[in-house]
Amino acid sequence: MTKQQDKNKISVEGIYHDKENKINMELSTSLDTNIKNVEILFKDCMDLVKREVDIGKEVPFRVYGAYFDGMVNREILENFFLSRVIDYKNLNGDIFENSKTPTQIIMDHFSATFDIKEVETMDDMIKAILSGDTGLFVDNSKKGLVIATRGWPNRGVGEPSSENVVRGSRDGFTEIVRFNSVLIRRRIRDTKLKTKMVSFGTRSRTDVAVMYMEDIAKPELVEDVMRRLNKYEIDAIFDSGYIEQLIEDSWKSPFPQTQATERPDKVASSLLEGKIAIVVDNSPFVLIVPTTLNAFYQASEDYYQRWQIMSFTRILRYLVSFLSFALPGLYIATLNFQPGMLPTPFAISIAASREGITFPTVLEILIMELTFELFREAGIRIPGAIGHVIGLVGGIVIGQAAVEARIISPMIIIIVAFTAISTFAIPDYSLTSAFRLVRFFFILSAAFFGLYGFLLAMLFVLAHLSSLESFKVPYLAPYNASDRNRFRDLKDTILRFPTFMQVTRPIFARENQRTRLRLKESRANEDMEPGAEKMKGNYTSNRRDK
Amino acid sequence: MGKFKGLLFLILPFILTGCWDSVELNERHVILELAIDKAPMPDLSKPINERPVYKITYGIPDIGKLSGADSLAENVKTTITTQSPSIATSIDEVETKTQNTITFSHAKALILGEEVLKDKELFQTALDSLLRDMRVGRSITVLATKGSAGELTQADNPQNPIMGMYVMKYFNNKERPVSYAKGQLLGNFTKELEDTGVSTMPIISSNEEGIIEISGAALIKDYEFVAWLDKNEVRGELFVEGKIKGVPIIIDYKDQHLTYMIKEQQSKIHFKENNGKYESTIDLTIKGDITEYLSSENKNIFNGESIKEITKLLEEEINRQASVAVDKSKSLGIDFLGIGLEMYRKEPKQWEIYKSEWNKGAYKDFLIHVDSTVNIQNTGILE
Amino acid sequence: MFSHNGKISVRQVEILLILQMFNTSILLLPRIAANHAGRNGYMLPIAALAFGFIYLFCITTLTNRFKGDTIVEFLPKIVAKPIAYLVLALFVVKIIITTGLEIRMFGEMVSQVMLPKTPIEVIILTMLLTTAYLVKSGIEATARMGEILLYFIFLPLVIVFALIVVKADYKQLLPLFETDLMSIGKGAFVISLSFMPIEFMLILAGLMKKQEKTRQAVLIALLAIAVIETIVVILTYVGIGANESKRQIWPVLTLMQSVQFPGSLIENQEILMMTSWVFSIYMYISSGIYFSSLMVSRALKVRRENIFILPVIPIIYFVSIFPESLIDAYKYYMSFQYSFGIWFLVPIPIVFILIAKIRKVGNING
Repeated sequence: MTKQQDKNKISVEGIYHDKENKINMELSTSLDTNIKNVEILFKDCMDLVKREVDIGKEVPFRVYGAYFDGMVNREILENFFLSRVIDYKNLNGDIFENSKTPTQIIMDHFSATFDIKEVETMDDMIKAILSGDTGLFVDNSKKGLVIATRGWPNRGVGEPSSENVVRGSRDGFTEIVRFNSVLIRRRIRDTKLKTKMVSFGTRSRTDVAVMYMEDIAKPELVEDVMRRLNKYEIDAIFDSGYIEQLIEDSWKSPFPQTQATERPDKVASSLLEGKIAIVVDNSPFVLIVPTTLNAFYQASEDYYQRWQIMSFTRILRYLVSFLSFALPGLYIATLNFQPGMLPTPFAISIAASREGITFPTVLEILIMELTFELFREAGIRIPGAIGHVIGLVGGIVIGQAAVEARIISPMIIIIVAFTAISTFAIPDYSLTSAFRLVRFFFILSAAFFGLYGFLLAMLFVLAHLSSLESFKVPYLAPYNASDRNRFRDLKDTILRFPTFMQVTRPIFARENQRTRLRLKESRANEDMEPGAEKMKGNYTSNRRDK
Repeated sequence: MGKFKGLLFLILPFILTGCWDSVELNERHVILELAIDKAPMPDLSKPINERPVYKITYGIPDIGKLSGADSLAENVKTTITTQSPSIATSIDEVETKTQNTITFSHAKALILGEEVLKDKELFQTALDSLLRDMRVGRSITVLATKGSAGELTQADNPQNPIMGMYVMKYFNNKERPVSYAKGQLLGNFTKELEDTGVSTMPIISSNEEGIIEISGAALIKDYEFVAWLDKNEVRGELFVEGKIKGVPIIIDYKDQHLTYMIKEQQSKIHFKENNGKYESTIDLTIKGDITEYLSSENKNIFNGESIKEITKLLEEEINRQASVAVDKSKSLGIDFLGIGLEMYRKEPKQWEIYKSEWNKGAYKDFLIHVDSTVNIQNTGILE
Repeated sequence: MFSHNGKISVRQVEILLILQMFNTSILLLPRIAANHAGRNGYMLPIAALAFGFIYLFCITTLTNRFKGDTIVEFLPKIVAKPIAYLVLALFVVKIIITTGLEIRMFGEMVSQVMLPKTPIEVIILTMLLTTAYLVKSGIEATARMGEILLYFIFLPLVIVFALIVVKADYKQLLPLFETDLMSIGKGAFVISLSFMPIEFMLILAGLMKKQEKTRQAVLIALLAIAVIETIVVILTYVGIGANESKRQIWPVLTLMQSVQFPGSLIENQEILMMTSWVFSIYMYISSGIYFSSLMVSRALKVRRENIFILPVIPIIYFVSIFPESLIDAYKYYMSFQYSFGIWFLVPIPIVFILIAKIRKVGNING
């Protein structure tokens, strides 16, 4: 082997493992060989339970089982498999016909569970064992058996911690990929909901499920997602965050280009819009691609409540998210550069409150913003009960004391507190993080060039967002490129139009699958006001007409 | 993108030396009023660029004191007077005498002394200088004063020590009746002077107790002071322009005072030919209520008859009040009521005939009728 | 899926054209109109439409003959290559000079209203670099940016204009029709030069998705801008008067100064109104930079089309700082528009149409 090849050699490669950390070994007909191999592979793995038994009474029928302690559901294993084996052992039967292979015999007669299958390679076998299934090697057979006994400790389906709603379902994703796909499938009972399983990470072998609606999602999008998923070889994936950063379009952007959510209803509705969900094992956050800026403002609750109040909330969200990154910059720009813009009494009261303060406004803002970021970070790390104390100490004591000591002017406290609260009004955490960073950019450019600098920063960010794409969908859609769907997507943006008006799917869906709501044909001829169940005339007169 | 970064490095020095325009708000003196007077008798021996012509008084408010907080300053307002050949040099001078820089971005009142108004050249230069540099906004209120503007702003005002703030509050209050003074903004003032050559600005004055009054007007023609209009003449002008609001009119009805409150007033100027001569009619439409009258059994006003009589009396009174302005303008020969402008707009062909002669006597001979229609909408809750 | 072929939709072309025409000249417009037609100046933008239609006809006739081609591709098909490249070079130079002067005027305005002490070079350079960031992402990003900025530009304007509309004294427009036809015609021609960005269609037409709709796109943009211009002129006249408009260098800014917001939420809102102008001029400059660099790179057949963006920036920068003062800049800006504005709108397209007809190249039916 030359040196160059050495460089390319991936560290996992060994005698038994190939480049992708797969075990390139066939199952042997001889049980002893298999046992030897397993022993070698699982050397020093004391948590592996393995045992060889002879389950035949008259004819020797040796099997060798292996599973990881704690990862299996013992009840399934014992009640539906082992107890049957023991029952059969005491029976005399002519079950050992020659027409069946040994593994088939076991599947037919010894197992009371549906989920048992034959596998052909050592790799599949080992992978199953590592995933919590029970592997069964059978003598005189080229095939092994895998019994689905997965049952590791999990926290069950709980409430999502980051996207709470007042109205709407309370179940959130958990760490188990299968549970998560179940939560989605429970909402879409359609054979066209497809789930493609890929395994990601040469060492972690994390299960990744790509879910999409076969007839709604554009095939080239599905293909693109699969292609991007197969781009890198990584040794481990511990959260969907890894995948998010490996498949996104632009690594330079602070803006999230995939949407991560804990809510199954959000994923389900996204799937029906033609988007694709990427469910990653060990992560309660499911990724949705492609995504747009607008999607981050659409909380699932928006659709469960009346459109008036939710439209109002949407307006509030947009406004407040603008303020969350713009307000400090705007404050500096007006105060230091264009004080003429402030109403006179207001200007006077601000000037008075700044009397005797040493720091320039820019520094004040930066100090307070950084202090707040510190509180936020500390608040997450500090254990629950003390976290509240930090809020109290930070917010009241330090804020109040700083003002009293004339280090910070009270307006700054108001501004920083307001921006901090504003960031929490945006339903998506990763977008909030982007805004937090962008805020400092606005502060700096406003500090140099006042309102002009602020406008330039605005243009810069808008230019960035305009050039940004998520899986070839413009990030700012439907505010731009809205003519591609004849402006229909604008019905679900700053204003949330009434549900009966949301008749089409957005641009993500296939062209021929755009309708999602229509009047039933039997009712289409009735003389009704749109959206209302109010017929002209009353019931009785209507019946008489018929 | 390496080049882009290179360029960034190029502009980095620019940025690092930057913040050219950044001044903290508490490092600015927010000037709220500007009083411009003419400097007393310049020394004619000096060259023209050293001859002081302006005497400008700056009332520099102490922001801390103004908003009720503690402050090192002794008084709410420090008055600094400068004498200089131009407004820019005056600002330069005042900045040597103050701790912070001066900003006019919140200037609310521009008070012009009598002497400035009477000096055409000085007046015009002052306005030009203020507007050219966008130093003060176009929406600053202009006021004239009889005598010295500086003295007026320095005088103690028990209501509000800062004159600019007083003026701002005075004109911002939309509920205030418009009866004796017409607010004038700098932008509008120059516009009127450019359009017709004639404009007015309200007079501000103060008595010994420091009580401020804004009433009457200074009549300006071609950047030159012409006459003071008293408050009754201004009321007449307001009637003609249809801007009267919330004004009580008192008449004598059956030997009793009767007060009629004008709620809304409109005015229309018509032109018509009569015996080969053009003349105009000013139609005033007035809506209002009767608010004060001592009624008794035989002096009941809650009937059509009395209302008709009262209406007639009111119309006469209003005609009289409006005619005061018309008579004044005719006696001065200056059309500050905008009759000529209205004629130009409605009868441009006719205007061509009058145009050249209008300010040279044609206006004096022009017949103007005042005709008012009073509408009594309400008599209150008593009969 | 969204195809990445560097093509933009009809609506995006319309918006780009509107934003390009909505540049500095709008700020000067009431002054120019008042100088030519007095208080009837508001008729000029509508009258200018007549000229606009001529420009539209000339340019779209030429581009429709060569569907899918920008000027860089079809010019060598019509005439010999040296001549074609000479004309292209002139076009590039013209775009660069116009952009340079435009950004200079813009810089002067920003300097006057917002940053009196900041060196104008810094204002210009920061703007150019911000623009470069957008155009390096190509025409699709630029077009999308236009769509977004449309909201930011016209929303504040609509609010302010609505305020003026309610409070204005319309008597100031009286008497109607008192200007002679000659000066209207002359004024209309001068105003029609504000439609100059139509010449970008020589390139944009080749980047459009539905080529058959070029004429419709330009027409809509023209009508929209004529209406906007008329509104701006009328409101300036009723706001500050026709005579005052003549005196002011930036009459529209003066108009913004004299508007008073109810409830005194913001004072001196003309600074806030700068938002609209900064944004719209940004679009104009980005088009200038993009098209000039695009033409160079296509002419030289370079594979990466955005490679000439950074080299173009210093050139535009030096053009923009060439005039010594505002007076110079204004003089150059106006005289350049008068003397060179029309060339690529009418004479050159007509000449090439004729040559193309004689030589029978291009799509004859178009």
